[in-house]
Amino acid sequence: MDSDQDVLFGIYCPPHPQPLLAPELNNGYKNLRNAYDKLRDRIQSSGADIILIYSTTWPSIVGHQIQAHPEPEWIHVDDDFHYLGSMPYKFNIDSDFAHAYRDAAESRGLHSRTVAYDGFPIDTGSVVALSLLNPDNKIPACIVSSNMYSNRSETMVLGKAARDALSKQGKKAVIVVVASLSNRMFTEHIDPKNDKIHSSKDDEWNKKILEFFKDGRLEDLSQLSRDIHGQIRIQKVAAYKPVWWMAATMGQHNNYQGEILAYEPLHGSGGAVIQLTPSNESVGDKEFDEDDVEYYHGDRNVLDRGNL
Amino acid sequence: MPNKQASKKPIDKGIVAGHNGIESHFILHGKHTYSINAMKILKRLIHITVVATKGMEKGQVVLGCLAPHPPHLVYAENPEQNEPFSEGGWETLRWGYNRLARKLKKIDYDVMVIFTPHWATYIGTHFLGLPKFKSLSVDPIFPNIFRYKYDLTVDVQLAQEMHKSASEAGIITKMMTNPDFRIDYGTITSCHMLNPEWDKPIITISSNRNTHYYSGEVMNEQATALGEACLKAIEKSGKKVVLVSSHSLSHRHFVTESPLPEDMSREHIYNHSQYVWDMKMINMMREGKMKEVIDIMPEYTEQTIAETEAGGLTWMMAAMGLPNYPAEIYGYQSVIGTGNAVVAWDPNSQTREIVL
Repeated sequence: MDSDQDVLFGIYCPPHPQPLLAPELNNGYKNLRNAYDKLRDRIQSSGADIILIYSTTWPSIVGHQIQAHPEPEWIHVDDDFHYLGSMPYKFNIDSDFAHAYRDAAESRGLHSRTVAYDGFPIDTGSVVALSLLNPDNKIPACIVSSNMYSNRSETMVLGKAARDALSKQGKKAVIVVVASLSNRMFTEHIDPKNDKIHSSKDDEWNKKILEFFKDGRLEDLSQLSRDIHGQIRIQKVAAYKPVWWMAATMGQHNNYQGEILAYEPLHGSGGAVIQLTPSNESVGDKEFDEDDVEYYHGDRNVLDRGNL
Repeated sequence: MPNKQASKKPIDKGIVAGHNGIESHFILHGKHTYSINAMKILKRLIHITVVATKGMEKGQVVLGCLAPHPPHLVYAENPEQNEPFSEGGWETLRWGYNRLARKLKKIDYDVMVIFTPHWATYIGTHFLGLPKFKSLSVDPIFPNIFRYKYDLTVDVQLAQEMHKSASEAGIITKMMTNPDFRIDYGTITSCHMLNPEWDKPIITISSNRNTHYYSGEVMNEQATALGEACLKAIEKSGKKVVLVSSHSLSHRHFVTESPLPEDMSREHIYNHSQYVWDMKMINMMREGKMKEVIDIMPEYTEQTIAETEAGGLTWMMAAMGLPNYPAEIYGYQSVIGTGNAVVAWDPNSQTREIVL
């Protein structure tokens, strides 16, 4: 079996709570909610054994953390959008897979650990995605953090470790990347009815990214990640990483069928719900000069070498 | 559906409430106005105003604390609220904190106001707006060492006054009134280390991410405006306030952790340049050069990825009028590679000390 087929399809969706808590405030939020609902049905009928989430709103520092609590339960409140209400949750986590993912990550040189603590604060993006895409917990899930210092090599290896774990356990997965496109929000409170993408530049870049997704050009997007980071991302972390992880997990090529189910502003940021399904068609495969890293060797200690 | 309770707008009861007993006097008078003629009411109101103005002392900041919040410090203290058990560690910082906590015991204050980077908001500055919060805080980064049961009280009245003052100064603000909101571990760690008895109310102020959205310079401007607005509210309230800026100095972490987190043989600063910058800042604090510290803050923050990026120190220094007297240095130590200093600014020259 082609290991690419371990992933049935991939989803890219935004972390903001509006589609979950207040879709009625804006037609755009409602469109996003409808897109989530459509994907919920597709996941249920996909035959997936697991939903694997990579969330950009779960930052980690000590390596890569993987949620392993079998039934995490809490009432979550977002730091910014607390006035929209609370998000009670109880999820069904595949602990066995979490441990297998950790082992696979360590085998590839990454520092990784599972977390399984009562009351652990699952992040807004993961809560929104799992609540909307898997509301009845019919399919077990797993969540992996996004290390704030990691860059391309580390993220690619983390994605490949996910493939290793899926292959080893023989599980079919739907993978979910939780991230905005442009992530600049308005810095003041707005009437949701007046929500729009923060700037024309952000909107144009978002639409270009969506073109790539629609054409199934995942590897091309992966190669564009550094440009995307510089152009339309607030510099909160080292790099724009979600597409790196998505490509490494699903397969680093352009053989996908893309579908944009919704693209709407979320307090100024670009929120898109996208499905990417492996296919035999390819659009413009190219060669790229960045290394395809298989094993993470750690820091290069550039500062220390400078003293020699 | 939106949570209606959480959506409810905060109620501003105004400044004539609570602290000095004026509220009951005012309300009692209001209840009897129907039997008094207009002139008598007017004379009485003037009298109350004069008495209130003379009776209420201007509020003030009685101490400012730079209080780093690595959860490792609470973990090492082994308080009953924290579930994991440690064999100690990071004594230089903890003993410094312990000494500062003893100093605080001798200071008369009403409320601790804390600015935390771990309640990060992108849409303005938010203030805790409910009187009680009781729950479990689990650190999302270090859940293995910090699972703390908290039960704390908030001075909602002063929080509302700060919110109002900041809003009037043109700062985007929001009161946080969702009862399910979880208090961040930065607030809990700094407050626990400064006042383990939790016998004073607190106010938490979120950190607006101006450095990320704009630049270190914009952060300095915004945090300064917020500090000045908070000072106005404090002065108007008549309360004695301890300000807490909760953060590390240099803030590059190691991305691995030793099997025993408190193994001090593994602890050191991430790299030498971080250390040199931290020492530069601490020496300027020791020399009372806080204006200069704030002036170089953007460069320092960029060079050391410092947690000053959240704006806490700038906010506190602005509220304290950029002190030109020496800071009290209680300790400096690295925690998982980051540089941390416990420092205090005592406006009272009679009680100000040279600690280290």
